[in-house]
Amino acid sequence: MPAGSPENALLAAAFRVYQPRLKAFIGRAFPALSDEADDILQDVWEEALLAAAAGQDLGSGWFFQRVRWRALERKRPAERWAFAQLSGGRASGTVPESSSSDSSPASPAPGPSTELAEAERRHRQGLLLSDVLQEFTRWCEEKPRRLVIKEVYERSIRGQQPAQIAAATGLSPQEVYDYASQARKWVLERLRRSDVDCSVFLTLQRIKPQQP
Amino acid sequence: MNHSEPPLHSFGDVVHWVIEERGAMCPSPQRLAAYRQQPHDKQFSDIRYHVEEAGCRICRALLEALI
Repeated sequence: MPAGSPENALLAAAFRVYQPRLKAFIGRAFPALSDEADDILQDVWEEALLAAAAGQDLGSGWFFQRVRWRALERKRPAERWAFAQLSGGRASGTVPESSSSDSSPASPAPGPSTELAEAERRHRQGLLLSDVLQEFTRWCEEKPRRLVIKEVYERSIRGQQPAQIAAATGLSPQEVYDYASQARKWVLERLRRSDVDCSVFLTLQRIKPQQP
Repeated sequence: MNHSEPPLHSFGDVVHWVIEERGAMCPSPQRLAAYRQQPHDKQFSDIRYHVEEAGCRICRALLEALI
């Protein structure tokens, strides 16, 4: 579709109508990205021109989904940064004591190469963790019978105890345990295949479902 | 880089962050749209938990926006 075509003018008019709602959506869903809302909308507008030129039908749902996707993508660097912070905190000993999740004795200060390896490991872990959980969610959504696995796992990793999950879902404690174990097994298996040094594996090992 | 993101101090923080900020356990857009049509349908129990009980900010905002 050539620039300035009637179709583009229609699309631009529609986009102007959607824009305030799209901006409000960014503010509510991604408050940390409020300052980047205009950039996100600009990216989506450019994508819309290409999509329209390719013959796609662009309704408001399309714009909201693309804004959501682009906002989530903008969080990737923040995720990397957050993991680097975690790594740096550990290396410099500034992480609060309560956050230390292993009980190994204190070791000598790591050298630069160890710190770099740790930073890289954390970097990969952050990307991998969100990606693997998204992949797990899509896997569960492929079959209706797996949806309960996703619900049990999400309740579990959000901190609910097995008894609470059983009460909320109507499942037996044994079923809760079985579903949570199945979910953990899937996630850990997926991590084993891609997490070379098992760093994420070890992270999630700490979130174990309890035996009923 | 957005430095307003909170630092992660523990593994619990890590998991919480990827769920809340990266939408790691959000339902697919298609299922969320279907849930919007039939919020009480049994097949959307996981989304009801995710949206109504856990209060996923991203999904709630999207549902509000699409009304």
